[in-house]
Amino acid sequence: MKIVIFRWIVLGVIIIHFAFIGINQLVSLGYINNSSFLDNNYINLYFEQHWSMFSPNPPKGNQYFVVKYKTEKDTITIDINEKIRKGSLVSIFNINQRILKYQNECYNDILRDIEEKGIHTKEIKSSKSYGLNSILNYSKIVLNKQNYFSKDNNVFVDIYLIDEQLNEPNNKNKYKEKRYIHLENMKIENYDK
Amino acid sequence: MINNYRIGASILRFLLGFLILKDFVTYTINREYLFSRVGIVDYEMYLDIINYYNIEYLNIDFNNEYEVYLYLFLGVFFSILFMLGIFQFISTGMLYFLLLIFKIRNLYLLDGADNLILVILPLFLFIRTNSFIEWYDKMIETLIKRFRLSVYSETISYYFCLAIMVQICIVYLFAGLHKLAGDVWRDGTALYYILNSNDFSPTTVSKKITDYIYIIKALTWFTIFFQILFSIFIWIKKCRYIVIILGILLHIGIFFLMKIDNFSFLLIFCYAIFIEDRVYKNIILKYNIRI
Repeated sequence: MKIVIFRWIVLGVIIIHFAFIGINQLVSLGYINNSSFLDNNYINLYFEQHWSMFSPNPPKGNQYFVVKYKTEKDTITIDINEKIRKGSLVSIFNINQRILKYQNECYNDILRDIEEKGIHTKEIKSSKSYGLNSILNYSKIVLNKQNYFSKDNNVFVDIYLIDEQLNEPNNKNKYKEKRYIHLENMKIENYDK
Repeated sequence: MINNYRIGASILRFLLGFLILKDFVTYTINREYLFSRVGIVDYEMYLDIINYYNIEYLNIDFNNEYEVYLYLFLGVFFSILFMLGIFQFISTGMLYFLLLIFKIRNLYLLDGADNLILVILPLFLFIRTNSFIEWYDKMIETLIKRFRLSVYSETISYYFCLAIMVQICIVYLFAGLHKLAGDVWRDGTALYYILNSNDFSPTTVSKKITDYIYIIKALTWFTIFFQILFSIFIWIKKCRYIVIILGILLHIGIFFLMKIDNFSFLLIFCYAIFIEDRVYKNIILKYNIRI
């Protein structure tokens, strides 16, 4: 008798768990209405799951950052994605593939601030955008590796969000014309620290 | 009730542990970029999440070098224990929380494999597997028998092995349904866009394939069909091995064409649990494998 009760308890726990997961997934698909109570009280933070890889639509082209580093006397422009792309094949112990994905998230985060929240590109620095702060952190890491400027310089950056869209298959030109958003004159804090 | 998926669960535990160990070695090598205050992902975001969920117990001061080293050491230590199957309950619990901390600190840097590991790992809290140390297994066996817990241990292990299988089905089913919602998945051109993206085309082969639109359409639709139908056909014994072989081919293809490594390998590893013990025992007997 005890084992029968035990079996039903175990089974019940598993069924309830997956029922909650199922509801959460159906919400993410838009099949049922938002269930913030379930999300706040059960799913987040411990049982979160996202399975919408490359969907509903995958990225239709290349989105990346080019950073222009500036001091009073000098400038250097770096495609901060390029080395990561090339390096991702070198070792199984690198985080390059993660960084590529992260830069994509940052790109979308900045874009959301500009397009959805209506924040002007000149005011974006003060908008506390996580994506932008992360890109600035990463720009600082790249700059430290370059040893290009002397450490006592104040370094500012212009960030270009490049958008290179693909045309549909069988089109004569594979890519559409490149577009970009320009974020100007952001100071790299604590450079060399 | 006997858990007839114990060997499969043990294989999955070992491979999962190996993958987590590899990840912690990677985190150690890249610790400056992942954890420090000047790391890639904004440190404020980590603090914001800790405050929002009120989970101060998961707050590690990543400005303190010693705490970072302790975090990484615990990660390596418990992933080795988990891989070997020693103190499985403790190592599973510890790894879960260590990986949760990684998730909170590096929210933007997570990939599908991190997500999958975090949903499968806690299920191992309730599954008894075989370790790599004979005397340890005997000791656990003796303890379980002494307290007359064999039936309970086997029952809970069996159901949680099934829970891992259900979780894998959920992954595939919802990944497939999400794809069905996209125009380019339905018209068969999704892979054209993915393989032409510089981030997901490690070699020129990936881009070359996109010149053949019929191959692209076939592969795109195969991916959707496989993902949606996996959760039905994997339960039908006659189809199970065909499904597993197709799945292995799919994930090897994803690895070579898109350089998505951890996620592809992890899902291949997960197939181990769908195979019953008698099949493994037959293979062991047939090929005279010594374990």
